[in-house]
Amino acid sequence: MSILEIRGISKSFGAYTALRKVSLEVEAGEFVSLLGPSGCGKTTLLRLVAGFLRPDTGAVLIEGRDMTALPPNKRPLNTVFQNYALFPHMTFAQNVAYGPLRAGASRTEARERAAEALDMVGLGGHGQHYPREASGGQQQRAALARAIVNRPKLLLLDEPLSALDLQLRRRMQIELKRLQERIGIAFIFVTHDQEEAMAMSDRIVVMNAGRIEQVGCGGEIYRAPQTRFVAQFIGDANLFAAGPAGNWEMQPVPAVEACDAARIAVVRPEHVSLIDAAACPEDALVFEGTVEAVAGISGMTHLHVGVGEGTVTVRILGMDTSVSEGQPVRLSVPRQSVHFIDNR
Amino acid sequence: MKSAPAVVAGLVALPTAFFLAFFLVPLAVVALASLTSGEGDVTFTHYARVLFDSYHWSILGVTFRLGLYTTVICLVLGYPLAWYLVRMVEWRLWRRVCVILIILPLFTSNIVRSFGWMILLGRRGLVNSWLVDFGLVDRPVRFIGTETGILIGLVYILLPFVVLTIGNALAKIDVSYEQASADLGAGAMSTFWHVTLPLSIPGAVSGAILVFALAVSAYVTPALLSGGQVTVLPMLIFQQYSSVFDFHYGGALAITLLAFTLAMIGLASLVGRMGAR
Repeated sequence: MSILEIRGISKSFGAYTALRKVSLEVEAGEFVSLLGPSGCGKTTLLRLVAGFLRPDTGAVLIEGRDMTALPPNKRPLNTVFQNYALFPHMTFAQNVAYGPLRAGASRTEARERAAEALDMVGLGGHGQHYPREASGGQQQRAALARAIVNRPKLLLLDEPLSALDLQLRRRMQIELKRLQERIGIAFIFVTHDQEEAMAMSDRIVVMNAGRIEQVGCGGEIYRAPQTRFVAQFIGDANLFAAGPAGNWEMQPVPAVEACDAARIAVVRPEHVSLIDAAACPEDALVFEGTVEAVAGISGMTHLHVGVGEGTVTVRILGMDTSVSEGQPVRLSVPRQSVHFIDNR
Repeated sequence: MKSAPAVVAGLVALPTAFFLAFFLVPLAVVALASLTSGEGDVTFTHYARVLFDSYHWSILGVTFRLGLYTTVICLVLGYPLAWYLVRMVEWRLWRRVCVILIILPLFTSNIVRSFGWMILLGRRGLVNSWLVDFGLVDRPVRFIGTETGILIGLVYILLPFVVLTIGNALAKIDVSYEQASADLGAGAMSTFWHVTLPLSIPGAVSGAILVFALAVSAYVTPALLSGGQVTVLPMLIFQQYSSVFDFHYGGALAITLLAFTLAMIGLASLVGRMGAR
């Protein structure tokens, strides 16, 4: 039985529809990310699961029990808030002990469990600090300790790392993943940062405009996007207007949204290579074009090549200095690396 | 933006001058008068007269008892009112109407409003006729000339101050704290007790200090509702200055009131700071 089941949830705020018939299942101990641009409904979905919002239609089931009508304090889950929401009038230790105390633990027991949880997130010995005296990273850890101290079956995290700087965020991603594996709690992690989602998740739920576009592991949604939105949102993609199945003819177009092709071909920039003018590789598509821009970024060479009316992005490992702007080039794309999606 | 020192000095000069001329200088004059005799010698006799006389202590007692009761009643009545305004009213227009209703009396003179209470609380006033009509009392209750009457008047006049300060404090509490509390298993009462109330205490304390200071220094309301039966310290001070013309004794009374008020406020803010921790 899945730990969480979301059944056909819709939610509107006045005239604005935040979620349209969203369904999702999360297994025990799983790390699931809700990924999407701001306004896609991912935070609304999280708040519905936590119980801060009621859905217009649909149901939230936790371990098979319908929780749709229950308030947050009756749900067996905890939340790490985006701004941490640590009680400012309590020390870290008091903040973390709050959950056990509400659950009926004695003061001594609550104190011990708080100390243990603080230890677990690397805040041992910081229990006497007040939130305002601590750094963002420490507050983040304290919020995490407070959320896991009651050992919920399910932990909801609302962009918990977004306020941290890049270095700290990377470190916290690794720590968070390790902690999740160690304590075996299912995590639902809301983020708009796809690298963060890729780095941590067992499965990623890509959302857009109140709908789930695709659910899959990081490799899957990158390799085989099911919709144009996912192809464009995850990583960089070259989109070509393509004919019906069995037809390998495809054209780069300026705006794939506007084209009326039957299918769209997705080619990742690292699968495009430069070949000699005379070369004619087997099982590959060949395009002639002109280099429009060259940039060396972090050990990669990024090329923008004008092909017909559109542009193809090429990414080559290493700093290639042999190409320059205005130079005619020949591009090759192996057929096996082309992924087709229906143009809807 | 960095301001030139001259600009800062210019901006600060006027309020400083005003403060000096109309607050510190008069206060110094009063303090000086309280410490000198009619001939200009330094003396503590006025203070001795104030502090070694049980009559003054009883007046001080009445004044501070009224101040304390007013403060407590204002807090007890004002907190739910502020809660209603900030947390329960969803229709913005209605909230605005409520706020205006609370503030409006402040635009009316104290004297008028206290007179109003004199009429309402009189033997044949509206309050007594209701009490008798509903059979709550057999005979009209005496309000005018009692501490109860003064208390009613003071609470009525000072209630807006606590509603506004507590309301402001409640409005500033981030909803995510209460959501976090609910998320951690706390029910509504528990959340209020452990999170909302402690976070609103600084606002309640500043409201209480305001009300207390205004209540113990109030003159008009006690004077009109006392019916000559109850005396509070400001009435005694007014008497010394306006009819007896004893600025030395009056000054000592005024400084005594100030000293006791400051001591009480210091105590209250200490409690407030401990509550905020």
